Amino acid sequence: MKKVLYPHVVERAVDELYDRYPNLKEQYGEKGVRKCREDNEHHLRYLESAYELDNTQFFVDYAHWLNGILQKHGMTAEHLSVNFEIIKHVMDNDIDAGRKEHYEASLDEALKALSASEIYTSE
Amino acid sequence: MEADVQRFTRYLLNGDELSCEDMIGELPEKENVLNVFDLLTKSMQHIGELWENNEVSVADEHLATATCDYVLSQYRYRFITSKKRKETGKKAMFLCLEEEQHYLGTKIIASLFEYFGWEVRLFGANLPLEYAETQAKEWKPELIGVSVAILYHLPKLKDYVETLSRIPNSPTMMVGGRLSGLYDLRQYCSKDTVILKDIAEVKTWLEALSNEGISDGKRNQPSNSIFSN
Repeated sequence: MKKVLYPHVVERAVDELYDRYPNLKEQYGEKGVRKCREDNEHHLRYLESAYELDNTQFFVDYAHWLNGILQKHGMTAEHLSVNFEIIKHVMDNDIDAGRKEHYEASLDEALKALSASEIYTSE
Repeated sequence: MEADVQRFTRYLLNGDELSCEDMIGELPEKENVLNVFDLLTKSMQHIGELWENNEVSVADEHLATATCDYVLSQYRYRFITSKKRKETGKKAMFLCLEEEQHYLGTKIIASLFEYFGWEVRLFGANLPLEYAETQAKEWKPELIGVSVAILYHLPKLKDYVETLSRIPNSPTMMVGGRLSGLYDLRQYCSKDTVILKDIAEVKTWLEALSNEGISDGKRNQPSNSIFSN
């Protein structure tokens, strides 16, 4: 059984994302909520891996890869970017300072990369 | 090759073992293991891309994996293990890191080692380090191959390499899998670890070893470019 990292962060991120996009519930139903939770568990796992390996680029590569997949499923880069912003916002002091700082650096770099790729796509 | 991959992919996704085997049987170079393994590998990689593009489901992918596994076992029996080979007297064990489920690559590499006359034990997916260590201490392989495909399993690699390198007969550590083709994994390995990016590199390594031989019971650290990463 895979251990879920920081489950309260995952729950808060899912709640906030659905508050921000209430139509997601109508569009994808309960299954969508479950998938969203799984996605956020994955984001946390990749943030932790990037921290353990001390390399934010691993998270940036993950963001690019995931963004490609989500777009094939009708999501936009904006959804992922907002999700990452929300994780930054809901992380609390249960995550120790050094780790949290690294998570934030990974998220910031991924956000920068996603926004650059969005501009590139729209051109 | 591209057309072959498309056709073989279709058979795998249909779970059509018979057509897969017929197709391999019709290949002009069916006894060239590298070509056949390349076809299997490229087809499974293509299925991964189809999943990423939302063109096939997880269920399709699992059926394809099970079919590929069966076809590989059949091929291995017909063209490798049932044929008399010159034995090297060397042993190799292959495993995936804990929680890593992508085992087909290790099965292909293990089969290649058998083709080159090694005695092989294949432990497949998800082998926790403590069991790998016990097995290695008891069986004393000259080489231990570890595969890692998913990034969040990578932090464990260093532990595996350090622990398994330390067992008394000092086996050569070999690292491969999807991540070895994407990133430089040297910093997560020991300086003596052989890191190989794909099956062609493994074959070149095995050929070099066959030509050079192993002196004083110790493996030669190969000196050509593929080992410099």
